[in-house]
Amino acid sequence: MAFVMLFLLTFGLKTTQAQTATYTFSFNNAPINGVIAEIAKKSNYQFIFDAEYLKKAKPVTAKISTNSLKTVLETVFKDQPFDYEINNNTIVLKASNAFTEEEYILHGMVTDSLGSPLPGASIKLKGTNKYTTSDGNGHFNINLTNEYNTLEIAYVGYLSKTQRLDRTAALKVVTVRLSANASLLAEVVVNGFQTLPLERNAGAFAVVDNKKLNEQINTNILAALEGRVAGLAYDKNPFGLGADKQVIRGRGTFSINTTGVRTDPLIVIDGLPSETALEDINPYDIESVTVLKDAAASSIYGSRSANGVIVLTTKKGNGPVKISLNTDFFIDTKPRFNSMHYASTSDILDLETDVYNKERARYTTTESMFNAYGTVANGSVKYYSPLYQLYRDRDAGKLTEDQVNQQLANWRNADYYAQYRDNVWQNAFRQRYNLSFSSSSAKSNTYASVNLDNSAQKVINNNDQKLNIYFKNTYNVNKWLTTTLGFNGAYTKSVSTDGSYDAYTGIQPRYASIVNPDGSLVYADYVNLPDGIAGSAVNGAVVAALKNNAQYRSYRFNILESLNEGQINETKIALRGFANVQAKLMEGLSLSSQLQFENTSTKSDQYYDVNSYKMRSAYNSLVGYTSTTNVYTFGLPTGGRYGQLEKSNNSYTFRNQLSFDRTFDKGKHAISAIAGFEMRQTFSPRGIEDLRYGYDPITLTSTLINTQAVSQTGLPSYIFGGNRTLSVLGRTQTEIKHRNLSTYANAGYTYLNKYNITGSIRVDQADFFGVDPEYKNRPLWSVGASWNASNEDFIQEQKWINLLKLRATYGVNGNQNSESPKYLTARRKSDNLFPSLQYIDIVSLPNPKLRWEKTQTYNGGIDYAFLSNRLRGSIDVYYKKSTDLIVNVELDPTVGAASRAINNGTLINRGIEFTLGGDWLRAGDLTLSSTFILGFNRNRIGKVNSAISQAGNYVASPALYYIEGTAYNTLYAYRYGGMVNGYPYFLDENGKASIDFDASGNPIVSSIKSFNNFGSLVNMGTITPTYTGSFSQRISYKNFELGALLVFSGGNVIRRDVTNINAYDVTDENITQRFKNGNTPAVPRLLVDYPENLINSAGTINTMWQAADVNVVKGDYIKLRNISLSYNLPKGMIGKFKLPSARFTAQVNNLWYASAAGDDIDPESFSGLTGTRTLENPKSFVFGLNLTF
Amino acid sequence: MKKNITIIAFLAVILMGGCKKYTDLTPTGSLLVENAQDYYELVSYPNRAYLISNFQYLVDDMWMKESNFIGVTPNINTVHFSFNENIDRVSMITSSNFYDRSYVYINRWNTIISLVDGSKGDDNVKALAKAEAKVLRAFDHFLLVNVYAKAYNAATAATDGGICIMDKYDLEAQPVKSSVAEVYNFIQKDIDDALPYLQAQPADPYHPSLAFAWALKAKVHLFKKEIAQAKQACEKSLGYNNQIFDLVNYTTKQGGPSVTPIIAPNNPEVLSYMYIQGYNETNFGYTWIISPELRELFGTNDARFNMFFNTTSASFLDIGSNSAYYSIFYTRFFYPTVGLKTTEVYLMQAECLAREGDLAGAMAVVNKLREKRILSGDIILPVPATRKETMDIIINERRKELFLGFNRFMDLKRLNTEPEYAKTVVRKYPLVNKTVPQQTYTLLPTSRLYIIPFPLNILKKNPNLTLNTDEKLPF
Repeated sequence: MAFVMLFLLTFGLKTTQAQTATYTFSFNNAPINGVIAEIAKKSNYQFIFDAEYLKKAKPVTAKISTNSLKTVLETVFKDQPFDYEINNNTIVLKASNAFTEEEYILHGMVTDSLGSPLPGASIKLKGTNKYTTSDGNGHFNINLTNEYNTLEIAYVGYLSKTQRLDRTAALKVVTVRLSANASLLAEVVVNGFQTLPLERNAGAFAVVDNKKLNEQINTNILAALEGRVAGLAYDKNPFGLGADKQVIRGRGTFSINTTGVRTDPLIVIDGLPSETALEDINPYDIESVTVLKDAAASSIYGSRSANGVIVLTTKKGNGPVKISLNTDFFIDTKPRFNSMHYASTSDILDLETDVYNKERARYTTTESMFNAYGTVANGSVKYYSPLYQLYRDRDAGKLTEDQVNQQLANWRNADYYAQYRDNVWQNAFRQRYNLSFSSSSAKSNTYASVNLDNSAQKVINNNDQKLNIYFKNTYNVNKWLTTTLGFNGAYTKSVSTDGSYDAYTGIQPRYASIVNPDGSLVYADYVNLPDGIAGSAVNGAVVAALKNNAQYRSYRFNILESLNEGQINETKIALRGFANVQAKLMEGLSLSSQLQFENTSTKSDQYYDVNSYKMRSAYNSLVGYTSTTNVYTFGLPTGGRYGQLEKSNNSYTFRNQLSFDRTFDKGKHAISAIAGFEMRQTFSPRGIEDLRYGYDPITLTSTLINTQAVSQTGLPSYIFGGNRTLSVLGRTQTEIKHRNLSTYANAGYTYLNKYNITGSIRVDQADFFGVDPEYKNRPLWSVGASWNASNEDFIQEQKWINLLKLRATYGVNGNQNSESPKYLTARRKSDNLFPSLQYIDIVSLPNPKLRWEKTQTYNGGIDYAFLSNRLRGSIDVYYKKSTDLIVNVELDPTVGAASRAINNGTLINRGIEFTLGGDWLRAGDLTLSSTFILGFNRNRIGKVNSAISQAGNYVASPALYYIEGTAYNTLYAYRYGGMVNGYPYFLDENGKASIDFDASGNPIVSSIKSFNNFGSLVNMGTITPTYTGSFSQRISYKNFELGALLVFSGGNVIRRDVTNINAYDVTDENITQRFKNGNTPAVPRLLVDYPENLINSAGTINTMWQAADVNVVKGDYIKLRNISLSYNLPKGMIGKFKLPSARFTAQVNNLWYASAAGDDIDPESFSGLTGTRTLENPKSFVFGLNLTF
Repeated sequence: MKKNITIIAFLAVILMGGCKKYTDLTPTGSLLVENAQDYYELVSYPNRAYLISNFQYLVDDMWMKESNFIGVTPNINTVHFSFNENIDRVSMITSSNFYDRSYVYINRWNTIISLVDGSKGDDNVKALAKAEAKVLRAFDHFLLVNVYAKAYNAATAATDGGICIMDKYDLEAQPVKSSVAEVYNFIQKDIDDALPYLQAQPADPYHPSLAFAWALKAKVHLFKKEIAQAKQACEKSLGYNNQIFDLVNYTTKQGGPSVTPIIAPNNPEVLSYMYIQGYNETNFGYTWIISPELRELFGTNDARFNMFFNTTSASFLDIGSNSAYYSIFYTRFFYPTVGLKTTEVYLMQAECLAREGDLAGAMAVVNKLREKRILSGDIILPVPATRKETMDIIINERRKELFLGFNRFMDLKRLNTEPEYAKTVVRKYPLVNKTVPQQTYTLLPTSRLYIIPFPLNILKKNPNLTLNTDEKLPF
């Protein structure tokens, strides 16, 4: 400011009625001094100002008519580089702050409507090229100079916002809330080959974005997706244990795992198919997940896509450096036995006593009964329980009646299960730490993460540690060339105990104990556990006979001691490396070349110490003794047993692709197309296995054994008589290599942003199918069309409609079968009698017509958003017909084979899917949002070439035996007729009973039959749920957020758990409801209450009773999968103390469920086909902390 | 630069054309059977087992340990052991390994017979492969018909229900039951078709030799009581192999199995390798206890019994029952159970001679065998006065030479058609256990038990297949 001159303009000093006067001015490009003069004249106000201002001032053009002077001044000085101030009758013009040209920083934050930060939003100063992006917490800083600034804030999937701010806004953090734009919601679809705006797609997709993925703390990606996608069902408890299986839109294949056809969706990571299981992917590395449901969406994956495709997109840098730290703790409570409905120890003792008495009654003396159980060098040795031993000792006069009763009383107070739970199980505990780093600039984009996972499992001594490192960098070499390089490495180290000790049933009876009240271990003299190496379980007679024989080792056992024996140490290294080079050839046309290599190698070892139970048992069984010479021979060298296993598998994918994406005629026409080819190989090389006996873990030495002799001839065994063989390694190695070669193309055309048509085609060749030329090059293809109705003028007039899109697709997908052979294949095998001879062994009979399974899908859908996007979602209807399915046709063994796999089956899935959600209430700091997802699926078997089988097969294995017109996995039952004298009977197709009773109500043995005819069965419905869905509710208030996810499914049926009447060792609580002398006529009698002449018939009766129609119940249930409460550290605090943004979460999983079956049946821990209870899903408690710098 | 990239792009597309062979992988871990030689090698099928657990106790030679019988709820073993005709045994035979495996083997032979002509290679190899497969196919049909149908009776064979004949590789076939006569015709045709092509010394021991084929032909004729043809076939077979392993010398000079192991290649008597359970089955010989009756028959000076049988192990025997079990491992002495061997051919020859009335000739053959078997006492038996007595000696010699396996079952069955040799089997049981009353069980020569019912799973699958007895289906 060089020179300041002060002007004082005074026009008359009369008092005026300024308040009431109406000012009328009309300026047209008037110079400022003239304007000031006129205002001063009409208002009688005097102006004081720096003359320098006049030079900088702009001419004024305005028409004003108002009675407020303030309005006049505001209008006139609006765009002037100075400010004004009214002071009594004086108007002082002063330098505006902006005019000082001093730079200042505006702090802001971009959030969504719920207040969650939006990282990566772009903030642009209107009319300039100045812009910035929000960081990981949604914060941004922008350098400004003007007093007033207009910012344009934009974020993908949200409505852009323009905000005018004055300089004072810089004093606080400006929060810009963006509301989601339904029409642009999840704007892009990543199908792995290309990224396209959703508007231009016709297929059925579901996108689960980062925010949805992280609404709760997830154990893994598999869990994160549950209940998030309509039509993606989770097959819970698939085999009574193991990870959930994902099924998209119902089963499209008959094959069970043995035939090599896959039922799980294809997993694609960043565009390339991967062999990595979803459970093994670090959930924090995933930005979004796209589920491709219909044929148009997934046919581009060809012959592996019929089960749907799950595309994972990993994170990348977003703006400046961002570091994020997650710490999660998971605690899975140990399960309780409540839902198992076990009988008490005392009841089990009573039942076993009855069983003993029944068996005893068949013999004249106790000893003759026990002769059948054998002893050392006498008879074949069979296990019998400590209770049997007690009665044997009593009858032999070794124990008095009092001693026996005392022992029984002690046993009644014991509870092996409870002790097992207390001593063997612990609350599973898992700690997970995840540190990620990301950064992006114009030149390069980097994302890196380190994940450390440490967990201790339910059974003590089982634990694992996992380290996962991920790195991805994209580098723009120059304007037309971009490279991406990445690496993912996971190292897992785990210790697991010998699996035979994981079971709390079977080894020891319920009345046994593990520890004494003082904590010392209780040792059993012997238990019912074969060592699996050389010997079988023994009994009390054997133990007594060997008691004082120094040549033998003890059979004593305690589970806590054994859990330290034979532990398996495993290390696994999984590596994935990928590279992508993308070159822009001309506008809209680019070439990319991608390569991915995956390798997983696993090493494990297992060591049984010389003193472990299994080694002692194996050692004993291989001790030989000749009484005539009194000479002992010892077959097993002293020392431990050490086994090692090393195996690996690897795969690579190489893909070259041309992509074209361009709009013409000012956006009127848009074309996007790709074409490329892909080579892929998966390879499991031969593993390395080693097994040593007489092993010393200190000196690392072992003893040579004659493998041929010990495994073929065996070694003499005094206890068991004859020879016993020793387990050695198998002689066959396997190696599997498969290759695929595919060419593909797809194209889409959009007219006026309203009308789209799409199409795709792919030809797959693989080494394992297509001998017949007819099937060799059969293409997989799709077509689709969609209409963005909401872009039409007549709908845009309807303000409440934000989005309306209709779409329809048709396409053909495939499913591969890599196991069934096309040729007559054989294997060379060496001969045992003539070791120099090799012969050919047929592995499979020829099937030249083998081809991949084919699935045709029709899909129609609507995407919608109404009422300012408060309500949004989609509806999809589909019809999916799978043909050429591999069917295991059961043959009459007379033809020389029991079954054979051929392409001859049809399965039809039809369904409808709804997604509905939105932030339906926003009131101040309170936001309520809900998402409701529901998918119906009806499955029907079409024409299938298999002869009608026996009724029992349909009941026991509906996955393998089925008939046309029914649902896959139909539950069949026998018609219950009634019960006479505790014997349930059933009715066949003619209403004839399965049992005839004599006059006194006893079954006539010869009349008892099992129904073999399919017609005798009743179709009860399907075991697979026909609807699945979820309801997610979120409530956010200020810094708190409460979320709950309810999942449900139903429409299916399951069998009740029915007490087995063909077994003596029943542990069910129903044994207290015994049919004795007709006391409880409504309950069928147990085997122990069967007369001798009917015992052989109990199996027949039991099979039908367990599968009776009266024992089928509904399988519907709802479960509170998780409920979580989060707290975000207030923004103010973060700013004031320069804290990183922080979020605390506490979560409970599996807190509550309700089930239509009742009776403590949770279908997730229950086998619906067999009606068997398994241990309850544990409740788990999760605590998480997220810090972002 | 951009131009270069375009060129690379085109190159990549062209390169793809060169990848045509990319998916032509030859899988490791398996072998494609394409050539005539491969099919010929397929004939070699070691370790063929014919598990007889459905009917092993239906003879006078076998015994059960008492703890496996007393107090045990009835099962097919106890039912057959106690010759119980009044129980629904059809329901008890839910499936049969013997049946399934026999047809799996037949399928192997049919694979060769049907597909070898379409393979690449020498026609002579094809003819040989086919001939060998045919003679083995005949063997399997012969076993099946003798287990599941009535013994051959010329008068009724054309109407007696037999078994299903499988004559080609066809997994979609709907098998139909043929009569006993048809099955025998099929068997004989296969053997006769094969004989001109077979070799005296095949490539490996699992290929059928001429000695085996003629022995099989002899057995088929003998079972049909075509004595002249049987005798001629025996002579042909012995012309190729007439060796008898000298067990006497083995015992006295070589020290027996504990000193001098005789593994499979060293036993010259073997004409074919088939088993009840598998090549190492004699390791588990303790599961087959022979009856006191058979033990009595062996006497005290039979090398076969003295060397191979255990009478003292309380683990597997009831001491005092006078039963015994085979206790020598296959690696110590290879004793074939159900495959054909030269000694069986000798005994068939003796039987033919006896039936033709040449008692002296018959005894000469029997004594030839006894010289290699009997350690002391009356080694050379005198020629008896009657054919019946001679036949009894031959039949008993067969029991002692062809113990275990199914030979005794088939012998009882075929001899029961002749009143002269029919036997009523009588069994007193139990012998040791005194806590349950001893029973006498009787098996009449005409008992329907001798015809084993087809397994239930097959009957359910194939409605064309009907039982060959008057037993009722349980469904």
